[in-house]
This record gives sequence, C-alpha cells and structure tokens, in this order.
Amino acid sequence: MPVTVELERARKCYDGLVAVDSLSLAISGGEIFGLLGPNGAGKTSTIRMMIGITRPDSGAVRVFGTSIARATLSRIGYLPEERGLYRRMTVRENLSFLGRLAGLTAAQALERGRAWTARLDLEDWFERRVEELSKGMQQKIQFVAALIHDPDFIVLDEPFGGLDPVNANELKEILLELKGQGRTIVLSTHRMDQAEKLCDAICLINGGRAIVQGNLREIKSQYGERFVRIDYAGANGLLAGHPMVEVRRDFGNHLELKLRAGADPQELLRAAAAAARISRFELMEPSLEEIFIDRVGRRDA
Amino acid sequence: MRSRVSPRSVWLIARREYLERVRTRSFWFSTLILPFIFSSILLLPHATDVVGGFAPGAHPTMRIAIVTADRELGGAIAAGLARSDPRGFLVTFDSAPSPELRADLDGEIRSRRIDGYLWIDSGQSGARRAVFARPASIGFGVTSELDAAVWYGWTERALAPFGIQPDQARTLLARVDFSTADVNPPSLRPQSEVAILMVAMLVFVMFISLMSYGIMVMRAVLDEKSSRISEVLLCSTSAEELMAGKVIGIGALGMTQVAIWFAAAALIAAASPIARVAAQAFPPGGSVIAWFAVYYVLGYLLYSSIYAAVGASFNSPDEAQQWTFVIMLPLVATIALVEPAIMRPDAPIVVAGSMIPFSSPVLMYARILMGRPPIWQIALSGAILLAAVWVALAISARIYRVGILMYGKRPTLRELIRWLRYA
Repeated sequence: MPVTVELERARKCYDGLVAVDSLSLAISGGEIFGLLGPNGAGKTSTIRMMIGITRPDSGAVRVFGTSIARATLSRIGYLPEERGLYRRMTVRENLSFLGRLAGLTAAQALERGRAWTARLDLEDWFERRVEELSKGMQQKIQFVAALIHDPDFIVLDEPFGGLDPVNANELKEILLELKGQGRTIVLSTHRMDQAEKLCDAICLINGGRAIVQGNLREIKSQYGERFVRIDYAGANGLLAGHPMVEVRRDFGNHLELKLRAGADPQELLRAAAAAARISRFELMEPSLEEIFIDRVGRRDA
Repeated sequence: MRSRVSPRSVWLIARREYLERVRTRSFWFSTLILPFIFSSILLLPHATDVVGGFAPGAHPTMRIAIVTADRELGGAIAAGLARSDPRGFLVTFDSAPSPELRADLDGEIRSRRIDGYLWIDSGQSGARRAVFARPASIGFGVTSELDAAVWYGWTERALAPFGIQPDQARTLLARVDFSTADVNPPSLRPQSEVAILMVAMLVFVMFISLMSYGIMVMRAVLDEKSSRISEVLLCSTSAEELMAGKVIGIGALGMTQVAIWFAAAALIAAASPIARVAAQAFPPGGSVIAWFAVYYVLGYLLYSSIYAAVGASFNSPDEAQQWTFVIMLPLVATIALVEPAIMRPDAPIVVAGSMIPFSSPVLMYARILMGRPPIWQIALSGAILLAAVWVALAISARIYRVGILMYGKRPTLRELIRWLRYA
C-alpha cells in the first residue's frame, strides 16, 4: 500500500511552547493508525498539520504524496475532539452546509446526509435542531459530517469519548468497514486499550516526540514475553530484589513483573516456587499502556 | 495554494451566516421595532381620521357650523374653506354666540348632526380669537385648513375698510416662498428643520448599524471558536474564506435591515401627510442611499474586521469585553461631533473628524447630506478610509487565522503582535 500521510521532522511551536518536536511518521493506505499519548502530548497539533489546518514551522507534511492543497482537502474527513455543530440549525442544515463546503452539490449532501442518518438510526432527528439532540446523537452527527464527502483519509480525534458501549461498537464496525474499503484512518486517543483492538500501526507520542512507532504486532513482539503475572500465597515480598526483575508491582496475592532483557522465565518460576505457593504463573505480551509507561519511565529516569 | 480564496466557500459561509440570523425572531424584532414606533407616531392621528371618515379629500363632507356675530366674517371664512377644499366642508351659520347655543352645538356634535363648529367670539376687546370645537378624532389636516381659512377671512375683513377687495387681499397676503441658496451649487443641501431631522435620523441609522453589526461579527467568531466549529470548517476551507464569509454574511444582514428601514420610511412617507412634508423637504433620492451604502460598507468592513480579530483572540465575550469597549470608543466619541457636523459641516473639528477612518463613515456622510463638502475632502477621507480598511483586513486576517485555533489563556498584546508574524 502506498503511503497516505507522511510527516518528516515536523515541528510546531505555539508561543514558545514546543507542541510537536521533529516528528517523523508514515501512515500506509488502508490501515487504521493509532496516534496515542496522554493529554497534552501533541496529538491534536500533529493532527492539525496532517489535515492542513496548520503548517509545520519546519519539516514537511505530505498527504497523498504532495503538500496539502485545496484539492487534497476534499479527500480528508475530520472528526475533532470537541464537537462542533451549529446548535440552532437542524441536522439537515448542518450536514448540507458542511457537505457543500467539502465540495458536494446541495443534492449530494442532502442525499448522503439522509442515508447516513438513517444508517445511524437518527432519521427522525433529521429536521430537528442540533441543540435538541442528546450528546451521543450529536457526536454521531459529527461523525457523519466527517464522512459525508466520502473521504479517503479520515482523522478521528477521540471518537469514542462520550459514546455508550452500543454506539461505540457501532462506530467500531463502521471504522472496520471503511478500512475494508481501502480508506486510511487515523485514530487519536489516550485510551490505549481501544487502540490496541483496532489499530494496525501506532505512534506513541509524549512531549511532542515519538516514543514508539510502527506495526503494532512488531512492536509487541520486540518486547517479547518479558511480562509475568504471578498469583501466589505466603511469602511477603516475593522475588523482591531478584536480579532478573526490572520492575515489580506487588498487589499482595498478585504480582506483576517486568523481566530484564535476557532473563529466563523458567528460572524465575523455580525461584518463586521455592519461596511461595504459586497458583498461576503467566507469561504475557505487554499491553500498549505498559509499553508506554515503560518507555516514558525510562526516558524520565 | 491553500491561501487562495475560493468564492464558492466564501459564498456558502456567508449564506449560512445570513440565513441563520435572518430567520431569528430577534432580527425581525429589532428591524421592525423602529418603523413601528415611527409609523405609530406619524400615522396614528391620521388613522383615526380615516376611521372617523375625516381624511382630507377622502371624507364625504365635514359639516361645520360657524358661529359669529359678524356675518361677513363668517362668509369670508366659508369662502376660504370652499377654495381650499371645494367639496370638503358644508358650512352652516349661527349668529350671536351665547352659552345656550354652545351647549346646543356640543349636543349636536355628540349626536353627530354636525362634525364640529367654529366659535368666534371677540367680545369687547376685538381680539382675533377663534375656537374649533370638535370630537377628538378630527386630526391635524382639518384643523390646519380651518386655521388658514380663519386667518385669511379675518384679514380680508380687516382690509375691506381700506377699499381692498378680498381677492386683492389674498394676493397681498400670499406667502413668501423663502429658501436659502449656497454659493457653491448644492445638490443635497436640506432646507428646513424637518430636513435636518431627516439627516440626523440617517446618520443615527448609520451609527447604530456600524456599532451593532461589528459586534455581531465578534460574537459569531467567539461562538464558532467556543463550539469548536472553526476547527471542522478549517478542515475544508481556509481561515481567510471563513473570515470573509462571516463578514460578508453579517454585513448583508445589516444591509437587509437598513433596506427594510428605507422601504418602511418610503411607505410611511406615502401614507402619512406629515412624513410626506418631510420627504418633500428632503427628498431621499438615489444619492442619499448610494452614499449611505458606500460609507456603510467601508465603515462596516473596518469595524467588523477588527471585531473579528478580537473575537478570534479571546475565548468568551467576557474576556473580549475590555477590547470591545476600546474599539467602540472612537465611534462613541463620534456622537459628540454629529450635531456640529449637521449644524456647521465646515467647522475644523468636524472636517478633522471626517478624515479619521473610525469616525469618517458617520461624519463625512453627515457632511455630504448637509451640502457637498469640497471634492478633495471627500476624496482624501475616502482614500484614508480605504487604506484603513485594507490594513485592518490584512492584520485581522492574520490574527484571526492564529487566534481561532488558540484556546486557554487570553493572549497578551505582545503575543497578539507575535501572531502577526506566524506563517
């Protein structure tokens, strides 16, 4: 798949504050890409450069192989983190306006707006003012607004925030369907558990810099099975200070460990069994959250 | 590429801004309240005339009794009435005023046998005094006709002993057509107090429109910023298009309001005799409207672009309050110069004020209405205003582009200046 979006040493400052610092990344066509990081990490600033709202102070941003031009804009769909619709206008008027601004004719915008609202079970609300809709409904309308012009590149900033599980699931299905159609999707979120389920590739950023990036499977396998979960009874401070243990979190009967590189889990199991009654010993892939904490912790140390 | 402005986007944005506002109740309320108040004041007495059947020309015939001991005076008055409105009055005469007769006549008005009576009772002093007794529904038009007829009648009678015939008397008493004329041939110079009132109203409308629609642009920007819509829009359009669309859409709304006011004024003038007098004294011709349009557009562009930048710089109307006031100050200060601009359009301070772009839309317009100022002054003031509009648009567009994406703390002046340098 060709690369849809490419950032090359992109840097963006606001009033002396570095929001994005020399960030390089490439997003392949047809994948769901997770832009992850805590609040204030620089996700929104990165997104704004990707969709041409702002330009980088230095470095380059290319979308569909060129720097962003008006023709590119009509191929980009954007769901901002904070919802923005005209509250005093109806759903139809909002969608028609945003659709036409994105390049559709009035008839196209109306037809697609109607089809999408029907699909999301909101057809009864089509002629109602946005302010009459619940928050979840408004968010679905915002989602429609991002997709109404049939973009190839879709950027969703915290799309699941404020959605109940049923709606979140519906959204997830639509995202997978869009991916199946070959569209490129960027998902920005601080909820790493969600990204883990959906994303093909990720970029973890913190303080405006990329910490980990690449294919999700590859990242996880790089970490290997260096995480161990032990359920035990007896022995306080089990394995505390053991030379193979790098990080140790003790919950009383439950222990989570990160092993040093090159450590042999079998040897650790023997050491644990010698000191306490072991009811469970499990080797795990790290979660994204653990990888994040691991990487950020290491940088800070 | 990105900064090239697409007319279609500007049009769509302007159209939305316009439509969203033009259908609100508050717009129509604020638009119609002014004509409503004026028409009530100007048309109400006239309306009761119509209801009572006494509209001049339209009423069947006013039945009037003239009560005077001097039959010849009564005859002269009746002749005068017949001249001014041949079919308007049916006059009967009653001689010798007495309290009993007056009570009778009051009764006849109440029972609608007559529509009023003219009571002329000079008594011993010989003072010229006449009272027109009438139901409250008889309006200004009828009474002024009577007033004139009594005055002419009485004067004719007074001149008769000198051998002057009534028609000679009328020629002698003909009103002088008095007016003023300028050495520089004036095109618009109003002639009367009524006309000055009209000018004051036009200037007032200019002032109100500039003030309220500039602030409306600021509120629209703040709204869009706080609801984060600007971020969605910027994904498919540029900041310049967004700002242009906003300014144009809301400006068109202001124009709509003013156009409705002008149309209403024309309707009121057509329906009300008093307003017609005003319209004759100061015909609101094409140039009055054209100059209004020119100064409204330029003044609005100046103020609204500054207000757009203020709106983009802050997060709430509260934060913007201080700046709102600062920007409004020159316009408010202009009020003090409106009266001099109308009464002494060539006073140095007025000339100076009509050169300053913040006050020139109001003051130069007033001066033009009061008699055309020298061409070079109009040209200079126009050039300064145009330049100011250009600078304001250029600076505001830059602040706007950065500001609408800035959230959080309110920027300091130094930060605003730094925004100007952002790409």
